[in-house]
Amino acid sequence: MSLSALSPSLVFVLAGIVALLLLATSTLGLAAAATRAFGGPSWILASPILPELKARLRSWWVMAATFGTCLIVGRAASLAFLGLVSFLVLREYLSVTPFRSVDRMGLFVAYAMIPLQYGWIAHGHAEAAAMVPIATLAALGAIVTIRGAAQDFLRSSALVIWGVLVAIVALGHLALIVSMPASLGYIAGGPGLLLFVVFVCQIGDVAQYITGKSLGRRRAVPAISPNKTIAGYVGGLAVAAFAAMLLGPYLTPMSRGESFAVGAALGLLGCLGGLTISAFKRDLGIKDMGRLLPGHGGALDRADSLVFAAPFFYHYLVLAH
Amino acid sequence: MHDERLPRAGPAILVANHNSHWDTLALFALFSSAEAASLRSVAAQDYFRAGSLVGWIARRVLGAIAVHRAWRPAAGDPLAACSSALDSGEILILYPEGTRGTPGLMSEFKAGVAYLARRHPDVPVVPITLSGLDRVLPKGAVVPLPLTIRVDVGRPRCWAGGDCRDFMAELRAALLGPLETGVEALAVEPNRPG
Repeated sequence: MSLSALSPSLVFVLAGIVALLLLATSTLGLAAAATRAFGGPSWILASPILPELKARLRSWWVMAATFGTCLIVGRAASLAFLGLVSFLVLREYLSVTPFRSVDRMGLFVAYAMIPLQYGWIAHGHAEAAAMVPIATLAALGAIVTIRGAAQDFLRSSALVIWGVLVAIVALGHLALIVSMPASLGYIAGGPGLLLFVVFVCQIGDVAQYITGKSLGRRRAVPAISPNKTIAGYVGGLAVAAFAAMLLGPYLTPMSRGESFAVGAALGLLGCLGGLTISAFKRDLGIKDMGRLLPGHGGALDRADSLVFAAPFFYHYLVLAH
Repeated sequence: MHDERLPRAGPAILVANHNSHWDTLALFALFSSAEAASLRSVAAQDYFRAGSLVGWIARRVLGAIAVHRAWRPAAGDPLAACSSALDSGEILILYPEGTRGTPGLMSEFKAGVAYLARRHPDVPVVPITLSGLDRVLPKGAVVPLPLTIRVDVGRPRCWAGGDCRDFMAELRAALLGPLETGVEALAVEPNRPG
């Protein structure tokens, strides 16, 4: 896709994201500067959350710039970016997971599946996503047969398969979304759909973080994610639904009401994705999946809300439109 | 962790635990390409002899210094090459375990580092703990698996007199520190790219 073929609504939304980030950066900067200059409440400067917020915001700029550039450059760039995300997610997952050393060879197969899947999707073969877990299972099966290492086989392969399903298959649906043809009536084409689902899920995360930190008191799921509050989830869900209602008519073939409902569903599935990845971390005894994105954690800590939301959005569009 | 403790210029001695051929590459990756030019890893003589790929890479690419595993009076000063490298301002990489050993377990330390430090009391010795590399490229494996690793740089120290054995014990404790708290430290910060 050349620059001239970019849909105006896509450009507007990207500009809106830049405006949001500018607003956040200037608010944060002004708050700190004003407190320093006029001696406002010292807790603002001393707040332990300030450096974290700054780091988070800086990472947001980097992520938005990379993602936006790929959307503008075209589908090949977007697919390459999404493939890189899959690789980073799988790598950080396998780095903290106690798989058996016998299964090493199977992991090479899992890594090799990434370019294969994305390449195949680039050639219009949407079923590619189903091939990946089967091929990984076949590789693990071949290893257990050849090496005769049946002990702990199921436990170890379950670890590997969770990683493959999350990193390559579930997130791979983002590639299917960006590849949906504009001819089906999607106003802004595949890039518009991708921008829609990513923005709705991520703004829901941000809203959940902000409302949770400022208003939240009662813990929602202390056994899985002790910092998440009910107020946070309500705020996140509401913002996701309203953001979807606002953008849906411009970026997708959905009506306003339909967009609101789909946004709420994306918000809910986003929460479920986040909680599922939290359960991973609980079980593994770690706080973050990695350190790739300062302030956020690893790549999967940022992408967790898309794990179930992206496949849902793809299949919803295929079925309903 | 604590990259700021890395020496930016030689002479210095980096001391690390050793589980994988990838260890040396990971240490090289901590330095810029200009700085890495003055890095010298120290490897056992027997690695160089065979026409192996590892030996070739060690010699040609990494500029490794060969040291005999066993001291033989006839061979003269076994550490002469290391000493002269330090004299010319280079950074040495030494694995005091002497071999790649068992993953996750630290073997007995050889005393060579202490002799070197005693001979060069103004050269800082920097303990570096590497974790996760035994999974990237375990002993015996040929192809490295892409995984993230963790590098903990300890406080640099110089020879301050005393006993060689005490110096090595102190180094050993410094290297073990991050591994022992590893279970908890990993819980907070699982890994960082090398």
